[in-house]
Amino acid sequence: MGREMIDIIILNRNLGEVCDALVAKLSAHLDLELDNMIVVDSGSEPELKSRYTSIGLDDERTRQHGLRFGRGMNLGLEYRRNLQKVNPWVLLLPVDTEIIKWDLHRFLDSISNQRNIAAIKPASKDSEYLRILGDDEFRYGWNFEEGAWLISSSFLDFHFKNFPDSSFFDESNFRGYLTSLELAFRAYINGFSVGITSSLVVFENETHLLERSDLIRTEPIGENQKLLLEEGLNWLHRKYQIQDAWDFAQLVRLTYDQFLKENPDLSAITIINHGS
Amino acid sequence: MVGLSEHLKHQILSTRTTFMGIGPMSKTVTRVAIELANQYRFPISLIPSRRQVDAASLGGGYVENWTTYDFSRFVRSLDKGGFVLLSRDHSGPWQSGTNSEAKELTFPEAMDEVKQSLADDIANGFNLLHIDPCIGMQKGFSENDVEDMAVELISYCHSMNTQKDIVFEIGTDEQNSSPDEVEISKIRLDRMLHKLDKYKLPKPLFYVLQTGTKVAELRNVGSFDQPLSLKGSLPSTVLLPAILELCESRGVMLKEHNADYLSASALKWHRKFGIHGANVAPEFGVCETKAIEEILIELKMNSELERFMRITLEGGKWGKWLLPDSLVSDNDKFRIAGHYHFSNPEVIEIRCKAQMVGRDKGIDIEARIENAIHNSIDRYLKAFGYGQRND
Repeated sequence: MGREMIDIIILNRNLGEVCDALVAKLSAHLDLELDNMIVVDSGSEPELKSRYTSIGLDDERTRQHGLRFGRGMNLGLEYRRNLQKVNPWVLLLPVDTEIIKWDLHRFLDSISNQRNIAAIKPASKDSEYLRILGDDEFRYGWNFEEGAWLISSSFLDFHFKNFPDSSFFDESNFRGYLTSLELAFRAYINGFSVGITSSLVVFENETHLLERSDLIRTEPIGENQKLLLEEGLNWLHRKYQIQDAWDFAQLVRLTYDQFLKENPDLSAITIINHGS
Repeated sequence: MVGLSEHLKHQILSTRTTFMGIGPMSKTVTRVAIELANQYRFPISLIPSRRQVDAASLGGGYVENWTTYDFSRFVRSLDKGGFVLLSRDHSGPWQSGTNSEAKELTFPEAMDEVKQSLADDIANGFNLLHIDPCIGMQKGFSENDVEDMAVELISYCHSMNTQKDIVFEIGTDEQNSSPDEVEISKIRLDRMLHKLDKYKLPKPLFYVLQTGTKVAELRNVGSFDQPLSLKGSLPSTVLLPAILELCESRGVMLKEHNADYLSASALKWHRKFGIHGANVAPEFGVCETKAIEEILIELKMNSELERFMRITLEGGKWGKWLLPDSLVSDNDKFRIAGHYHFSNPEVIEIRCKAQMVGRDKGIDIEARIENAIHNSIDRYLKAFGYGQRND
């Protein structure tokens, strides 16, 4: 196996040059056909779009507020569904992602016989998870950071077959609060699983958000976090009638624990080994 | 006969209560804490650091200028139901006391000093001793050396404690904004238990591990209570169950330090997770200072408030609580550190004057201060499960 294992969706907003550089870097890593690389534009100014843009929206609302992770990736996933051929995995990347380590093809090949993996989190270069992974390429877990994700086509197929009327990501959660937790919840409750890999290490370069929020046309980072929390909690109350993120996290954990009960042989490759 | 260790363990586990350690930041805080323990008829511990209360021979502490003897007498005189455990917090070499601040002590001097302090604790009926030699790491000692210091101090206390009714808490690391990594904690805990076992010393009842709580300025800045995950940190919801499982598998109970200023959600999860014990201290001192500030403003005693603020700002005790590049105002520096100066004669005078001015206006100032502290402590006790038993 090799180059044909993976598709990529990059979500760009007013960072055309950054996006083009990311595409170029990924192409170099992947020896990938550009057909497998989907760039979604999130209402960028014409001169700030990526030259690789595949699809996008530029209605007034999108120009004002962007698509954000959920709506943007949904658009990319819809575009991908119409491709003639899709790969077993799709990597979702916000445009400010930098690739620190890429050793994915062999890893994805080796993991293909693991049980029903829905999604794999690329480890962040500065995360405690990466330190815990050490020499291991993969461990199961349930509560990971937001940002880049590798999603398996089998989980996407499962979703679109069983829930044909709903988008993959919940667009009513506009800013994406607890998106990663909800992804793990949906995976485990449906008999899939989630893990993290050290074979793909990324870094979310917040400099763009910190120093160029006016250019990106988004709120400054502090304001964005405040809205993320406020709107996210409203979404959590509305959708699950759950009071706060703590309670939701424990609900997800229950589904993960159940998965380990059903697969006791996997407990040795969890992010925290509860054994003595 | 069931010893204190087994009795306390049974009470905590059978009711799934988070056992609360309360910093005796002032005489008022101490009195209110005792009242609440007797009201709930469930044990709490009062946890003076050596800076707050220490042996007379070491100069006493800044709280009420209490010596260990004074403090013990005061608590025992009010604790009618016997629900208050006297618990020494952070006892170890260089953990201050007046002498340590006056000059840099050598290692043998610092060990002699802390033994003097511990001997006085034992003589005055302390029940729980937290042995914490972690400052040794800052002095260039290795982790292994610091563990050996803990063993030496426990051995010393054990030999002094003829009734063998004192229980121990061990914590040899400093507060951190992220929880401890489980594998590392496992190695450290096993090493410590092995050393204690080798010398036939008692296993500690409590073991301090970082749960992601850290106090700075007027808030908790650790990862435990962040609505959005802190970059680089593992979420507490991932680590805490594993940390608890580790402690339980080794027969020790998890003690969380620096639980001040946690949100209602975070407090609620202490019982849900099953965190065995948690300490809160500076928040109650800050609560008292804020109550005094409000009263002085209400009574239009502006010059007195300014005097109290000046004493606090000049005292500089707020410094260690500030975050790097802090933009905290002078008003907040005052709120952070006002309690260090409650026993300053000028502050006592200001408080007495406020009491008299208040009395003329029909306001019981001290009752109002006590009420504020009561509510502040009770927020924790209720969340931790006090008052939930039906006996």
